[in-house]
Amino acid sequence: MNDVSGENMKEKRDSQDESINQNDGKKEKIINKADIILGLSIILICAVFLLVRKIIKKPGYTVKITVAGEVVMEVPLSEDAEYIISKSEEKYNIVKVSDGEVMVTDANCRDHICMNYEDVDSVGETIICLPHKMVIEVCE
Amino acid sequence: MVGNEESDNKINNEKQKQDKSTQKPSGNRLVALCGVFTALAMILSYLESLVPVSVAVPGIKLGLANLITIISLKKLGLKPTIVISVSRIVLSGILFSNVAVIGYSLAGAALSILVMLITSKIKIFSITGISICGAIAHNFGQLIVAAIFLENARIFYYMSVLSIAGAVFGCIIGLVAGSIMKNINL
Repeated sequence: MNDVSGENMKEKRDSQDESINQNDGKKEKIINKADIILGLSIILICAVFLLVRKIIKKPGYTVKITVAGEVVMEVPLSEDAEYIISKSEEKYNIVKVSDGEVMVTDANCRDHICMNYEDVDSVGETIICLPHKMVIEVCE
Repeated sequence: MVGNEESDNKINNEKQKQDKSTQKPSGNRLVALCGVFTALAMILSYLESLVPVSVAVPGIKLGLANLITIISLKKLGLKPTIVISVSRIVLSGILFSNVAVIGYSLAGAALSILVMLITSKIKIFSITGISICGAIAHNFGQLIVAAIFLENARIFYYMSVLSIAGAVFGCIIGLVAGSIMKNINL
């Protein structure tokens, strides 16, 4: 009696296992070696790239401000000053240079992402205000 | 004798189940599933919008809605996926964030769906890899639109940060999508 019920249980379990596998037709893995290699290499390459940029930090000399691809002004990073960038009437950004850093202190764009940048003082670093098409770039 | 009959029935049942699960839904069932998927994608979009990601490009997000895109691509096919994605992006853009995001998201989604379709046909990667490729393609598409809009290519430097996030979150979303598809029968 015990043996028969044991066999029934095993059949039930087997059919349940099979029905779960039937859901995708074959036993497909959700992650394999190629995926892991892909993910890790992407992370590695980008991390190295970022680290290199961080290590090779050259202090900037001038700040180039472009709006819609056109250079609007180029100012020295050494002089503390505030500049109003406003190519069209409704859009403005206030760019402030102080202590060798450049930052955006005020803007009337919708998301104010441009105002969140910190520590922009090295060559190649940028502040971007996408709605206003403004790119501030630190140059040599 | 009894044992043989039982195993025959079992084989027939297995065949039916296999046919059902590999067939793509159609007709009314497809329409209903599209609606459900779109709604789910919008909920995920809303949840994403609660987490602020402050990068230069608006519309850069965690990519939770990609979960729906992947499952839909595998289970429903290309055309329903396009419909679901476009609907979700337009509606979410109007409801949860600003209309400008719609442009970037559409470009990102277009490139993402294309890349995911190609990678799923090549059959090197499993679903996690497809999701990673999709996430990175999505970011790249958005950056392309942003660069055109800004008329400045400097913004592509953000690709390195975005790719790390894309790989990580793409992997997570891929694993979740794979687990869902394994355990839930449409």
